[in-house]
Amino acid sequence: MICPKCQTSNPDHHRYCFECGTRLGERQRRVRAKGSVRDLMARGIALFNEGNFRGALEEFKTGAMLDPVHELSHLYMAACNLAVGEIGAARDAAKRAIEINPKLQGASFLLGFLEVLEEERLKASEHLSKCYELNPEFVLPLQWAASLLIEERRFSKAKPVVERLLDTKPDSAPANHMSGVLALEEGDLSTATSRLERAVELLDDFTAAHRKLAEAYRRQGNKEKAAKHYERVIELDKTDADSTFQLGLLLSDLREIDAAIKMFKRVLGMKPSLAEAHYQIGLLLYVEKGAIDEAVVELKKALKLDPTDPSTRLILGELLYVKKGMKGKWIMVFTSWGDPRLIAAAFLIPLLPLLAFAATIFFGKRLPGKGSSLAIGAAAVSSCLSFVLLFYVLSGGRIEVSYPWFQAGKYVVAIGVTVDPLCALMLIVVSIVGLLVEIYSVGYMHGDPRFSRYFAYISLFIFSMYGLVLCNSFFLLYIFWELVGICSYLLIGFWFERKSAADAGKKAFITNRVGDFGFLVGVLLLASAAGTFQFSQIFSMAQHGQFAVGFLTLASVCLFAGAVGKSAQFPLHVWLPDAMEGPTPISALIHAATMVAAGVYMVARCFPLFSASAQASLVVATIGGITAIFAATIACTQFDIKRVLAYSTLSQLGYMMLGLGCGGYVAGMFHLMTHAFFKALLFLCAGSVIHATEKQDIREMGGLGRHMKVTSTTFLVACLAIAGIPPFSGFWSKDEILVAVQRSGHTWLYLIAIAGALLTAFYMFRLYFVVFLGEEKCKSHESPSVMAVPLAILGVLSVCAGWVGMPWFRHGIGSFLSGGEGVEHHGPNYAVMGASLLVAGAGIVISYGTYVKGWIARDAFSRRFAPIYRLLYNKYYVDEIYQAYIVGPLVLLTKSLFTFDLGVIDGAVNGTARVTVLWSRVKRWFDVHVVDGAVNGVAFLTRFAGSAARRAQTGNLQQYALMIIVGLATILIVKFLL
Amino acid sequence: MTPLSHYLILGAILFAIGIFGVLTRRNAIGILISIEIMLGAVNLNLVAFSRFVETSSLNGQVFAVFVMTVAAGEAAVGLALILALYRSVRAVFADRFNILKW
Repeated sequence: MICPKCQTSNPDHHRYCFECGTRLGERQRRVRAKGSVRDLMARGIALFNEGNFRGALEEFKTGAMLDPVHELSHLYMAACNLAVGEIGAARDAAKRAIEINPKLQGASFLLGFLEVLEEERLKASEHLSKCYELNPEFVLPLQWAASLLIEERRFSKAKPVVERLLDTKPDSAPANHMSGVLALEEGDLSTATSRLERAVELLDDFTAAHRKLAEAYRRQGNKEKAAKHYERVIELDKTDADSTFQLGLLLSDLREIDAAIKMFKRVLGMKPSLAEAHYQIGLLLYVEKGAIDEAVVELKKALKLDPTDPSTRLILGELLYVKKGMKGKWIMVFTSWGDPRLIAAAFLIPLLPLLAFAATIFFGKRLPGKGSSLAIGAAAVSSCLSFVLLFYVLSGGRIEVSYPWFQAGKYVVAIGVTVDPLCALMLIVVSIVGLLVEIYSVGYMHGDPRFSRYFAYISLFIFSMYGLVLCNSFFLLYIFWELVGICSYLLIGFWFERKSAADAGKKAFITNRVGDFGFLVGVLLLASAAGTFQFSQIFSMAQHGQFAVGFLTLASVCLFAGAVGKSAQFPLHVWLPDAMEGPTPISALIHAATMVAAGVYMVARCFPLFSASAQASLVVATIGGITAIFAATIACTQFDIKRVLAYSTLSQLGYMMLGLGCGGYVAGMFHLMTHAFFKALLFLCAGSVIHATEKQDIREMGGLGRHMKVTSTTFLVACLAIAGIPPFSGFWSKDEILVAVQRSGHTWLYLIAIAGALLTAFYMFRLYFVVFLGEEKCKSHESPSVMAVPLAILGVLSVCAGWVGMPWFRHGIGSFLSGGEGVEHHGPNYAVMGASLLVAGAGIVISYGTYVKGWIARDAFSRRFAPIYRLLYNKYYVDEIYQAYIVGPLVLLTKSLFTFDLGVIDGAVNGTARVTVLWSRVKRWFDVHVVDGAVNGVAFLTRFAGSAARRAQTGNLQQYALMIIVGLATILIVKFLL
Repeated sequence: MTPLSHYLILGAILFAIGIFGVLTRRNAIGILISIEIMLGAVNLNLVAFSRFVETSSLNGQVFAVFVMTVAAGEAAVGLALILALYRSVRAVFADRFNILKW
């Protein structure tokens, strides 16, 4: 209602005008209601054109009040409000205008503009697209809409808009630019480059297009072109620090060092606190120009700005140690951060079991408890320290320490530990399982003649495992990798008087070595490419894309070969079932929980390498999947309780690799943790059964549940866990893996995983039903408490350990392992959960039906599918194939080489000796007959002459006188007569 | 007067007889006697020349006296030697003194 005096509009219920105070009567209210809208509009527009926006606003407001469906007045009102600066009111007015007449193009445009001002870009883009639809000639809103969508990163929505834009105006530089940006986001680099090139062609000064084009070329690997475009960007926009930095990196790759350094210096000019730039300059100065002192200065600056970057520390440490010879400085820049007491704890954790090993192996029999108490004590203290470290890591702490050890050529090898969430998790697993197994062994190995040696070996193994988990360089990893293999050999062949045990130990070690060859090749490849063995260096280089993808694939696959051997994946799995010849606690410790998990741990640790190469991840996942299903099928037919568990381990390891290969880093490690607990429990229960019944074939056992309550209950708990029944731990971890496999898009792997889950449930419950239920076939008794208590503890863990990874928690194991950042948190995937539950339930039901109720005969499968059954029972004949095609030929080769060695080589050596002897005889003849003969001949001649000559001396006086006379006469005759 | 050559030839014959005797006689004393004969021959030679060569001094005859003295001494020594030899070998035959043989 308009006041007659001052023309302000008042709300209807006012009696007096709030501006001038005149009374507002009914007549006024009604009178002013008349008046044509058109006049108002005309007046309003006039005022608008004059610039009197407020007045115009009033006119339009009246108009709107008079005729609420007059869209133009709303539109003009919006315009006035905008002019005045009332964005909110303008927006409402424009919205109303659109409500009234959706086809009002101007309103759409205006509204779009207003939404942009209000930062509601999505809505703005909608309105702008609508504006374009109303008036296809007006392309600007469409372009604007497209750019807004791209700004909001809604690439899927932006795509159709950009396509349409490109159709209408193929020569528009912004259109091409946006299309290129979209293609880049999708990963289609060739389209992106072509579109962006066109954009740049059309408009040379298009900085953004140059930037994106350079990025596209960089991702394609075309460094020169990328550098060229970055240079153009810098020409156009001198303050673009990011592009300058990228250009610097490219130039350093292209080996134009001085230009690169200049670029980095420029970046520093713009962003003085960018530690990365200092680091890169320092790196270039050191590596390419050899200018060590300047490099040290730069790196120190980088370190001051960003103390947490390990690669800076590493290079600076290397410089100071190698070049400046600061050998005396032990704790130096090589180290990183961490509470010094906890660093000491981290080093102490592996050292205590090592000392226990040394003491037990030499003085075992004289120690109290024959070495067992020392080993258990060391393991207990190390476990406590592991928990301390776990809490430290949970509260955000990290440790990364390296001490330089020696230098070989250009490599500086260091001893170091790194404690991060992955390592802390593994420490806990190793500690708990190790300690429980040691306690259990006291009872199991009671009375064994080599009791103390057993505990010495276990301590050595625990030392190696701790070292493997804590180490922070490939060099140390390889050392501990081999150590773990040795311990496995020693412990598998512990009862070496049995030939099968000794053979099994050899088989384990040799199969491991075959894999370790590949592992060594991988380690050396990476070290030679990176110039160092340290993880932090190599992984940061991989993440910065400094390795070619092909190289990373090769190196990752070689590393994975080591994991194939150690974690018993498909081609090199043959040692694990035979490894059951060792004592059962060893099977629990080494072959269920820790050593075989070392391969999985290594893949998880090198995850940056595997995730950077899609082919390597696919290889990992495929081999994992194959192993999973392969082993599960075999396990259904085996009768030895430990063999079934061994194949079960193989299958679960396959699952872990499958999870890791599909990008599920958290899933794989989580499953490793839960698997360690329930598999160790299963093995210890099996040991309990074997200890009680002295048998291992399940066909001879039955109804043991009656007398062995603890064992059977915990076995059931473990079976439920491994089958994947909630709320037991296995369900959560297996579910994570299945989700990861499904998300990766390889449906066939997902199907394999599901099938494996069904088989797992089936054969595990087969074991349970046959052994613990049914009629009693042999006597049994419960194990002593020193064996039963670890079972109970592990049982509890099998139930609870999975609860840290339930998908409803945001801060469960997922965020812990990824350091609280990065990995997306997926909500619970009910479809996958349901599928796995269904499949596990089906497996249990089938097993129940066959082995308890007898609905299906036990040998139904073996009779109807006899060839398949034979194949499975004989483990796919893999051992036989290896024996025939690999071992056999090798032995033949060995024998032939031995014959060659004996005949040819030894023959040659002996022949040479004989010739020498012959020659010496010849020379001897010469020496005796010729040389000595000459000497003797001289003597003989002398004697002969003497013996001839002495006959002249007869001793006869008168003869002497005669001689004188004859001589005298001869002289006289000769002288005087001749 | 008898010519010088007669004396010289006598002297030669005597010397030859003496040499023959030295070389062939078994008895050591016989050898000594033969040596005396040789010495006599030498004396005869000397005296003959002294008589037939006209000089103021009678060198030859003096020399012959010396020779006779020496002959006497030599005979004494020779006999002493033979006596010593006889004491060891108990014979005087020259062929018995053959220890210094090969």
